[in-house]
Amino acid sequence: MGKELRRSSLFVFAVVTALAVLLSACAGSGEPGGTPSKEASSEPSPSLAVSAEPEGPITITTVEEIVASMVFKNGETAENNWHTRWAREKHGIDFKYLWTASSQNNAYNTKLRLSLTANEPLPDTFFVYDRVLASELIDAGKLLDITEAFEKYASPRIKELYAEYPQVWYPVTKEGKRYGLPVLSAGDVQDTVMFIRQDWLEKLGLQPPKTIEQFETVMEAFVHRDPDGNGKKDTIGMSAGLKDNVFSVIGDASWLFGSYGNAIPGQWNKTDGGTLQYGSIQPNAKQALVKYSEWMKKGYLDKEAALMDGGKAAEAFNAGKSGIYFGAFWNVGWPLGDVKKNVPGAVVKAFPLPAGPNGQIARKATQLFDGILLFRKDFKHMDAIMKYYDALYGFGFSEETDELRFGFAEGYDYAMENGEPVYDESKIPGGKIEAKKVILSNDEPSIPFKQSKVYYDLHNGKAPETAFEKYLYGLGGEVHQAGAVNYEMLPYSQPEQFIGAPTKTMKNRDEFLRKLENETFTKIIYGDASPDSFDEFVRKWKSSGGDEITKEVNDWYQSVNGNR
Amino acid sequence: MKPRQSGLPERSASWRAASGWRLRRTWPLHLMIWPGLVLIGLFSYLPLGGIVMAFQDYKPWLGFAGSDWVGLEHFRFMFEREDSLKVIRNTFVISALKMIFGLLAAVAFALLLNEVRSTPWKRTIQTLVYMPHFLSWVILGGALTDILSQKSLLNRLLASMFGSPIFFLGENGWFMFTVVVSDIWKEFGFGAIVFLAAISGIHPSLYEAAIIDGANRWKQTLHITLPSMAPIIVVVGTLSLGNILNAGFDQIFNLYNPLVYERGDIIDTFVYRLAMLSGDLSFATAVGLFKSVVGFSLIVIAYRVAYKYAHYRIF
Repeated sequence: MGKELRRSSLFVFAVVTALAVLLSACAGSGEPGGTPSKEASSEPSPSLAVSAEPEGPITITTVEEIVASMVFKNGETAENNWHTRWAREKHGIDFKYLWTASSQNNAYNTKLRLSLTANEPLPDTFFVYDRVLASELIDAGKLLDITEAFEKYASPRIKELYAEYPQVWYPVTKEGKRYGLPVLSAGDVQDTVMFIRQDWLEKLGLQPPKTIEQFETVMEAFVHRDPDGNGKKDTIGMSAGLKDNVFSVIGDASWLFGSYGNAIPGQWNKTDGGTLQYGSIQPNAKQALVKYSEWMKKGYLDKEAALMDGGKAAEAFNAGKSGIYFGAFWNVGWPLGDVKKNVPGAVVKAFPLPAGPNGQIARKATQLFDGILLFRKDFKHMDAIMKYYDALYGFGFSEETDELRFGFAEGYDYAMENGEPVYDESKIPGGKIEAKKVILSNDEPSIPFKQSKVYYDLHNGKAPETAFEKYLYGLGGEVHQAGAVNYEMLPYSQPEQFIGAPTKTMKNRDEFLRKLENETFTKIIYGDASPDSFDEFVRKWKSSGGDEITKEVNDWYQSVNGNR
Repeated sequence: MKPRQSGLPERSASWRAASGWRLRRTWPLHLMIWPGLVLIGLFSYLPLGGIVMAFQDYKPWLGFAGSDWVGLEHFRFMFEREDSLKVIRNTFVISALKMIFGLLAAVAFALLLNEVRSTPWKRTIQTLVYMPHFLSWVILGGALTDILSQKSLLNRLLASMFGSPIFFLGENGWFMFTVVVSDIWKEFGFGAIVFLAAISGIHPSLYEAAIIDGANRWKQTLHITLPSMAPIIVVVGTLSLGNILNAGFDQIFNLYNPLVYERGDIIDTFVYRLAMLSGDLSFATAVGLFKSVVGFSLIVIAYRVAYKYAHYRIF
């Protein structure tokens, strides 16, 4: 008996140990995977004597989002690289990274939110793409009002540029004050164009499609006439990612909605009546969904599209089993550049979007700002930051006095040859990388629409003259061709009209409405729900807070238009 | 009252002496328990304070003290939302299926492995079936998506047998099936450890007596091995009941998509989308709290049941 007791207590011990192992495993996996911030080697730099700051560099704390396109060379890291050295030596700013996080799976935003929840101190300055987060912080009174600082310290050329696009201030404006610096985008770098495997078109003797009917003919041929020549019927018409939503910069599916009307799904569009309406509930959305479900049935679309996000859709295209793909013009280099590695002889070419009935074309437009640079409330060094910001604009303005007029870092994104900048991959020792990805705003502050025209000109045979043109010339002919198509398509771009802070009802109902929309859309496309369930969706969307949101959005629209 | 008062110091003095002696011998054990206790306090008890969020309109920058109280508003909203009940039902069904069939698979595997005579062979099998437990769902999710894709080898085989491929991850019924089966496949080897320990603890004399009585292997299993394992099966089953509303976030999150929201969306993925994608921390906490309360009630019930029918006490 005693023996058995001991044995049964042994079992319990075994169970408890197993549980303890499980528990500790759970505790371990629950911790955020942040990288310990490495202290940048702070050797006193010789050029400090030139700097205007007598007491040495000022320290500015920040955090960094590691994006997929961020590449390093010379053993540099996110916390110690050409940018941190440059800022210290030329601007007397010592950037100190509190933490870094990947952009994958929203890790950066999640970490930022979590650190807010934990009431950790904010970094002096940080960059967010998420307008919701920015507005939360503004409401919290945690951010610096930069209205005066901008007027006082911004260079005249920057003030002039921002004066051209007053709407970019909307998301950071509260009671007439500006609580952050929206970083201007290139204006059209996220607009959708169509990419087709030109070699498939030629092999099957097809013309690039100009209308939806021709587009269907091409897809029919891609599916049934064995474009990859392996004797198997294993190709599909077009690749798109439907897992998260229908609109994306990579693997976009929202373009078809624009073939039936100007309302772009997932954004607020201006109607003829002058009010703003949500795009996903308009009649043209139903037409597009019905079309997609036809295509799904005919095998034009990947049967796994609902399991794929944009990146996966690009992978499917890169595998050489799909003929058409939609995305921003630069997709031709990344992610679609890989198709040539997988399929020798593959040629990817950009084309204008096919037109719907009556020649209707519309596509979603890029925001005029990429993200927002935010500053902690008691941050003191706006003068240094605005000087630094103007220097970063040097590449965009490329005036003779600009230090960065040739590129961001010599030996990284350009090299000098006989006093002239060169942008050839082969001329840069150790390879060319996108040096600008490590600056505070993750991407260069741009002059909207400037580069678009340059692509168009370069594609049409203009010789590059300025450093800016030479830089873009260095990106290669494929990008110019796609960029030129993008430029020609500019009149069809429909911008998101609601760029204010998310409204009250929006915050509460966001998840529900998003889920409802994604579920309905994918089900209709897959034929799991009848096209008429769209009407049911619209009704439910409106009654579950959508009507209130529409009203709030229009109130906001009235208020900003009244102010102008 | 009086004798007790006078007796107390005396008793405690002797107790102190005894415990002092014991401490001298056992202090390493006491030391070893501390890291565990600290971790549990840090990760399991300290965060409990965050529950107040469920009753507030919580704003991170205002903190717990500054946020407005809204009472049961979030809970009301939870039951108003038509998909909440669906999500709770999904969680319950997926988790219950995983639990029942996972337990059966682990027990059956332990019994079968016990019958393997060759030790090296036994060890090899055991190691092989443990392996998947140590892979994360991020990796397995990617692998499963490919293995179950409609152009995969498996689906081509199925198509040649039944006429059409199966959209495992895109059809509601099949999604649930896939989730349950893949989870069992991943965990049954690890779950069987405890049962193997239980089997090895059965006294050989019982088997010897049974053999003399003419019992074959099957009868031995039925009348000796299984009854001896019964208490531990009840323990494991009871303990896992506390997890009935944990249907496996890692797994579902890596496999689901809008097509299978109806049967595949569980409380944890729901809370993730609410809190992390939409930033609605209070509502997410309310849903999480609801989950915990139901889980707690279930473990209490299960414990009572286990005691009543198997006379087994865990605590």
